[in-house]
Amino acid sequence: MASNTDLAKQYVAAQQARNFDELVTLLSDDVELNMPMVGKVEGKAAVEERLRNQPGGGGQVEISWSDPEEEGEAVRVVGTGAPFGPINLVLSFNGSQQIAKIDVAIGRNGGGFQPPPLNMSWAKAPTERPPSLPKDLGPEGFTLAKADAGSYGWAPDHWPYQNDTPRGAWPAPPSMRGLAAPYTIYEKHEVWADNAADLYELAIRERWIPATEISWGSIEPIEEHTEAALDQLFTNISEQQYNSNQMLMGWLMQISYGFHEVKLYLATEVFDLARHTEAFRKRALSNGGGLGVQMPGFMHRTVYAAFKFTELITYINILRGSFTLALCEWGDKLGRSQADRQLFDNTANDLRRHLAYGVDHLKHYIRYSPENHDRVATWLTRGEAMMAADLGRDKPLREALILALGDTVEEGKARLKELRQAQLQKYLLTLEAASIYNHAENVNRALNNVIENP
Amino acid sequence: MVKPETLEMLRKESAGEDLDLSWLDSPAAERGLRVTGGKRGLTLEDISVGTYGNPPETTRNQSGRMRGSAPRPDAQNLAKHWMVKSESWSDSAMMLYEEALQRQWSSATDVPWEEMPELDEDLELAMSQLCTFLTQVEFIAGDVPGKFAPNISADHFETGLFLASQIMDEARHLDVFRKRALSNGIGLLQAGPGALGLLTAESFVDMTASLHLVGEGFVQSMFRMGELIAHSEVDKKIFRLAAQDESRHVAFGVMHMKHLLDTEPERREEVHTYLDRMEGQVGAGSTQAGLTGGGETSEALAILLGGGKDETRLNEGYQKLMAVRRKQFNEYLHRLEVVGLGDRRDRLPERVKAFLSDVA
Repeated sequence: MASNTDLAKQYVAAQQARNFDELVTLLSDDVELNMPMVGKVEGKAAVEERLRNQPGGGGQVEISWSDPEEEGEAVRVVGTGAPFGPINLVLSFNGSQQIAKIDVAIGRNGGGFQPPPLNMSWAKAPTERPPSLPKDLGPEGFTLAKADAGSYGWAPDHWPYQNDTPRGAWPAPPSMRGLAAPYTIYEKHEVWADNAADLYELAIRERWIPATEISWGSIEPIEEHTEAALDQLFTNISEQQYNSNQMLMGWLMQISYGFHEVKLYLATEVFDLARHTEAFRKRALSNGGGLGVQMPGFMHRTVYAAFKFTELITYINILRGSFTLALCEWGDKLGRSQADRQLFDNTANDLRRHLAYGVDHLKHYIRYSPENHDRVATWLTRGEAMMAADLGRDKPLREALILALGDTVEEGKARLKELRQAQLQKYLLTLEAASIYNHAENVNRALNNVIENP
Repeated sequence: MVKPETLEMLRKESAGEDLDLSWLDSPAAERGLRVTGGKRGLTLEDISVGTYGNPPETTRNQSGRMRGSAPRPDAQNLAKHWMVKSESWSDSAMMLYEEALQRQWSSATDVPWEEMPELDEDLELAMSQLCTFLTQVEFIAGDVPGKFAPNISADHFETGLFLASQIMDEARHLDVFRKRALSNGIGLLQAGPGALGLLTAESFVDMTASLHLVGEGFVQSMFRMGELIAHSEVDKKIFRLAAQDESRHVAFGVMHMKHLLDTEPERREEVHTYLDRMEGQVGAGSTQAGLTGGGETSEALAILLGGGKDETRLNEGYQKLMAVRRKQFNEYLHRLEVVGLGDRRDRLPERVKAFLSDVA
């Protein structure tokens, strides 16, 4: 004849194994279940239903149960590992060796909280012990590159965990990992750039605040059509940066946790783009003007329609990024105030980081497989065609640049052509840095056309 | 509007014959704004004036046209953006975004790493375990808002800007807790179940209920108890800095939920269902375990709160941990009252009510 202690062990084992068929055989017909979450449940059928519908997986924690202790006719078992401290399980039995009552409560004695026995199994996780902090961290402080020493700094070609396990931590047992993540990017070559960690730290060091770090007071009234021309330009920049910002944010949840440097870097780019969106909007509303006309949106649509992360980066960091950077580098020619020049300078500085990530990522991506070179070429062609459609149809932008760049229309047109050439040149040099050589020969005809005939 | 004679002059200039200039001739967007900033600089609230302020309650803008700019009839239609303001709007978004910019900090240089003391090994192990948990879950709170960013209309772009600031904050949190675990000889330890359940949110409202009202709120309460958890100035500073970030995130969510329930009170029961899920009342398990610490993290917290693992200290640590849990639930209830869901007190599961009962 099994003792009550044996029955309790059997109950706990069946519960842990979620073997409800066995569990039910241990219960009396009039069994009563008392749980803090659900109150009292009476009768074998109702209790069975309750037990079968207990949550499992998906964020559950693993509870370790102590050896049963007899307390008169009842048996007490204490579970540890739950987020709210120990769980007190008291089983009472009838004369037929069946469980007649199940009391579940928070606290070891069921009357409130009592500490569980010390476990500390987590302290035995066989992870790497990192070196101590360097004595002198230097002006850049404790950077990711310094922190991620040894194997912590090594990002594998394929990230094996479909959850949010941090790289270098000891993964939870498979049964404890909960839902498989919605990430789609587990291959390093799809997102990686060797400079991501450094660019992340650099972005934080180079952060700026449009509200208080632009000399808004330096803006003075200028000729109305010149102000309107600048406002049109600011409208375009604000709109396109918001578009890039939205889609880049949307892609974060595709990138698995093993490539945290990339996720962190992209967070800075997202924040930079937000800053550009509002800073240029503020400028447009600050000098007697307002916003201009929206963009045609061919590039917006292309950015939204990107199927692959590298495709997205090709559009927003490489193509849009290099054209916008070249424009901002003309800030001295375009700006009419210290505030204007600061805006263009600060934005250009941000865009250089975006370009640096894009270049390094494309290089990594192309080096991974020759086929990737062809994929990038396809994306470049598509992006160039869409950018050409925007530039070719954006009459307000074209005319705004003519008015903003020259004292006369003729001069403005000549300068616009120079600007377009500078943008193309910046783009081609960017591609060369990304190991895409001689692209000048392959630039989409439509884009060449708007560069030559702006 | 630019003077007609100026336009005429431009058109008559050499090479000016092909200029259209209709965008200057009769601009569709409001002009004549000369906004100046106040003592907080030139903020989003300052420029939210005239047609540029006042975000529309409903919009058919699917092209990414920024609020206030002039539409063009041939703009591409992205057909992705929410048309109703209440879906994503929070009255605090502008202010919180500007505050986020002002309060950015650097995990590399604003934490006094060089003053890190050598801690008792058990305390260091516990801190490393807590940081393993935090670095695991923190960027989920960046992935989740990112999921919805592409759907936010450019007419309600301030929400998008705020979410970008939250993503930046969460990046820093992933980073700082990782650095902390790697800074004092132990490293990362045991990963837990994590917080991926938050990514199951299928609407913005679902997200603010589960992520901001519950998840971030619980983490914020814990960070605010950082003075009790931390055993060095380094750790105290980290918790203080992270707590102020989380406060913004929680404030955004609270104000979004308040706006939603003020404008669409018929959605109360829908919101309750999201909270039911988070509280573990719909049979899918409470994700609270993943958000504020499963078993490993609870034990690590108890060791830190008590100051060691001997029986007396551990007992004290667990008592303090229960106080942290009570604070988490009480602050949660307060948030619910602010958004207009004070009646939820009666709907809380008994398990949660137990945490509220002995708190004044």
